[in-house]
Amino acid sequence: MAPPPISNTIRRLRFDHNEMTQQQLADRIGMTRQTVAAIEQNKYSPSLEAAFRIAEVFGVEIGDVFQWKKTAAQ
Amino acid sequence: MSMREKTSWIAVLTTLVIWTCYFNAFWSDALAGRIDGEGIRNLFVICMVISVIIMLGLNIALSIAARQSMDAPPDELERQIEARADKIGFKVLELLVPVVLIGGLLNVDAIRSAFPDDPAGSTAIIFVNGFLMTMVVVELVREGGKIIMFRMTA
Repeated sequence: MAPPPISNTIRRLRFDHNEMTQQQLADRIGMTRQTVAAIEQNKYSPSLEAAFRIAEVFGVEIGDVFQWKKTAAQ
Repeated sequence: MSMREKTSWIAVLTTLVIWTCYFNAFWSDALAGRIDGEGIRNLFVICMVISVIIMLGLNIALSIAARQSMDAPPDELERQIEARADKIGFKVLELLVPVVLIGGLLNVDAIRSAFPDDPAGSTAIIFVNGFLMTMVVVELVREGGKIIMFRMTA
């Protein structure tokens, strides 16, 4: 299965926010640590609601967390 | 590994071990031409009780060890994985039920002649066990599918 054409900066944002752990982020957005890890590694694209929740935790715009990767065809 | 993946591993391993023993005993007896209805019923009840005790016990132990609630609601990825596994399981069920039914109906005469003492009872027991085996296979496919999908996102 091809990875979704979306990249994210969750790892850096976690680091910038007092080295927040995946578990701490997961607890704040109501997910499991494994799901946060899958999102961070770009193996799973979260729902729009979850994406907004993540952005809210870091106090940034959703576009600062997730970026659409343009494909060659585009 | 998430709680739900561990639960799936417990379900797969328990089901594999216990129901393999059950079906091995049943089909060995059936192919040898001797079906003891009461003995099979007792074996079925014993296997069912052991399955429930092992699965429940391991899940409670896991929940205590991980300090997580056993009935915590699934998050969106877990819901997606469960929905996909259910869909695959349903497809397998749709495929296997007609196979077992048609296979059984085509072999009714052979079953009846193999068990002259109680042809009707033996046929019914074989049909029931065919469907029970289908349910077990579907459950293995469902839980196995969940494990594969959890591993793909790990």
